[in-house]
Amino acid sequence: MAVMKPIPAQLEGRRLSFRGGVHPPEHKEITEKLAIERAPLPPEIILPLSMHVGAPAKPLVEKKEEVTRGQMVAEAGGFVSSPIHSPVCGTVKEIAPLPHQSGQMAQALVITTDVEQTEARIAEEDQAPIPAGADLGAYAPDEITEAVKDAGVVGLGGAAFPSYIKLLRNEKQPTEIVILNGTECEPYLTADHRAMLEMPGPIIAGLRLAMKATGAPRGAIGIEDNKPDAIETMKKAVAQAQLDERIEVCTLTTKYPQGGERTLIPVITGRAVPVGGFPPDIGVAIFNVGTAAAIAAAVLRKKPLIERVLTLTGHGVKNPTNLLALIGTPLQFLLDQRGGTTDDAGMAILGGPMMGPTAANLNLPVLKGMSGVTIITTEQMPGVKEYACIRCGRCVDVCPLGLMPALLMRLAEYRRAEEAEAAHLMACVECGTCGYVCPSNIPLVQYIRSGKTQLRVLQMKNK
Amino acid sequence: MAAEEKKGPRLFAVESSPHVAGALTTPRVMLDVLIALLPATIAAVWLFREWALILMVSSVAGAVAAEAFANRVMGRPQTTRDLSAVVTGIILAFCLPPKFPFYFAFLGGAVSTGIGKMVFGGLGCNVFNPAMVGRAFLTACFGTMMTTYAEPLTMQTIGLEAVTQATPLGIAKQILKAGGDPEKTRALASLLPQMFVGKVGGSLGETSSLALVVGGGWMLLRRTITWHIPVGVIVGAMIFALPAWLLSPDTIVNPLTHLVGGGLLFGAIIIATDPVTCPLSAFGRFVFAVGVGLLTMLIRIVGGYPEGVMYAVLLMNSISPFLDRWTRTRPLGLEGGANA
Repeated sequence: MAVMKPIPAQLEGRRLSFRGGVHPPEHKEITEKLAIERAPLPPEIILPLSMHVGAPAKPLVEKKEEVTRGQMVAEAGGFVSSPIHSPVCGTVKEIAPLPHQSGQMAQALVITTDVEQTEARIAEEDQAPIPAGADLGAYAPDEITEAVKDAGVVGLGGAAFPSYIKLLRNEKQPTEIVILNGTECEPYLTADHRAMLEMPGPIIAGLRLAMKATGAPRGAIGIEDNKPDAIETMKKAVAQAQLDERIEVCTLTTKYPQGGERTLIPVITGRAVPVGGFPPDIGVAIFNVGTAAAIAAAVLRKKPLIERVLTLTGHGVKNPTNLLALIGTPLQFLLDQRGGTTDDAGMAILGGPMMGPTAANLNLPVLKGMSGVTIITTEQMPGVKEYACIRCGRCVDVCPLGLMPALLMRLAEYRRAEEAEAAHLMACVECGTCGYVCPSNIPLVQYIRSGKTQLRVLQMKNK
Repeated sequence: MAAEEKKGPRLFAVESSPHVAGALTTPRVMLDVLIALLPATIAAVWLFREWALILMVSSVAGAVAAEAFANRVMGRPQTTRDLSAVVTGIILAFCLPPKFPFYFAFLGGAVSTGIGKMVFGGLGCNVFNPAMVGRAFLTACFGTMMTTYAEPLTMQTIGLEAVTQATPLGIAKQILKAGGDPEKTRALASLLPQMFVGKVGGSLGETSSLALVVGGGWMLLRRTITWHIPVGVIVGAMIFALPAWLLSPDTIVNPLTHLVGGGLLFGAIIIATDPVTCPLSAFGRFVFAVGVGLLTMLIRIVGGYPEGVMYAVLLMNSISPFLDRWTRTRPLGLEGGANA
């Protein structure tokens, strides 16, 4: 492997950007000024055993068994997997296949909430915010990683990859920098923005824990310049804590998909993540800011990942908000508590509109990786009128990864999956930039997904 | 109805992401091309009066009619509203000499979209630039008429005080055939300012370089085109024309005459930039464009025609799929791939 470029000595003070990208309307004004509220307790919690990348978790409880808040109710199903904890005190109602955000049915634990007991438990919990400069002296790197693993912490930014794996030490390629992703480049969503404003302490403490666990000498927090208040808050929190660690707050140009790890990492470090490789290959560990706060809670408060901040937003929601909700809370319940949807609500998106999957109905639970629900009106839904590809090349211009979406689309259309693979089909992260910009309204991402499926089928057959 | 709806959970529409689309549509892209052609249209009407209008209307009518007819015959939804046939018709008209018969212009327009585009499957499927297919057809069938530019007498009657004996490049060809004529080359060079505004003999839309540059600026601004093709064509042409002129300044005219005296700028800005028939990547487009420029000059200086853009574009169109294969982008994170 070629010698890697050194990471720039000074990251702060430069405005960083990447090649390509687009500027979809942000609509962040709907919720960016609204403080995070604690969502009411739902009567029932639904915990799909598969809400992370990797093997589904294995249930540790049985039907009718009583559980308490924070109790591990399912253990990790393998190396790449994560345990699941009950966010409430209550009784296991059933373990059954239920609708999952993937669109399929998936095994899930249903827990009936004992509201009184749960409320009592929440009141007992240490609510004092974790300070940015919390003393980490008592925690060895291995202990940090183990605590994160046991707490079921996975990436809160959307991918839900088990976080402890990123914290493991790698002798071959030591981690040089831990990056926190506070870009939140998806339109509408403001959960990370609010988290940075309201809990800079745990975020910075989490970053320091990750640096200690990985042995990385440097830390960086990347924030888009449409959140100047968050940049200021984080900078101030870093400065006030008078840390021994070197942590920089990087200002990034607001452009979609700035927050994709394959665009964010090169922008900050000057190193591209190799095609087919991962950030650790180039000495980088990257976490969402919310994940960092969850790491801090897991290590310093022994609190598993049982709740998260998410944005309930869009012009189809009557009262948009930023919520601290229990994992497993049915979305319909959250919505009903807020007065439901408007009459012209047309599409429910899990996450933001660029990458989020749609849901036919909202009888789905909040998952660990769900950063929001965006409900758009029928009028805002993109049209279905499609024109022929005129090869205008806009998709090639804007692809942040330097791929050729129009070419991949054609190859997928003609079922030439192997040729598409040679044209780097699998490098596509489905950010949707090409589909957004296409004047012919061609569902490029859908074609690319179809191509990936074709390739998988082909590989299964060839085995 | 309303009561029924309340029973079950509310249902939402489902689709693949992204769920937000930019404002630009393909008809709007075509409209931008038409807007870019507007300065040249105004120049054509200023220079050639009603002749220009008649030819444009006939050519567009032929192009739109053939597309509508083809869709009808094939039982496909009508596509004429995407404006691409209008663009083709105007571009073809711009390639015609002012006194060309209007019924042949109609025929040329019909061939452009009918044979040039619809037989391949319509917009986005054609291999060759449709307008150039129409122009090649007319050149093959009515060669003399296609190269008979308005004569001085006719020009005077329509009130044009221009150099009209022949096109500048026609004169350039005469010089070349005569084995050199220093006086004529100098005379031609002195006409460069007139060539730039378009007050010379030539086809409708090709003559005014100024109008074409203004239109090109609009398309660059709207990203209807990128700089790669116009710059590539000019670079390719100059690579050939400049050394040739330096070696033999008496027989070969000034490269600037080649640039503004004929169809080169029109080709560089309007014709070669047709996205459907050129490679997809920026680098591919540049290679394609350099090829167009080189071939144009090869035809003009070595070949038998005074002009060369049409055949240069058609030839490069034919190898565009191969260029596409050789000029793919390299993704970010691959050795030598795109940089952040």
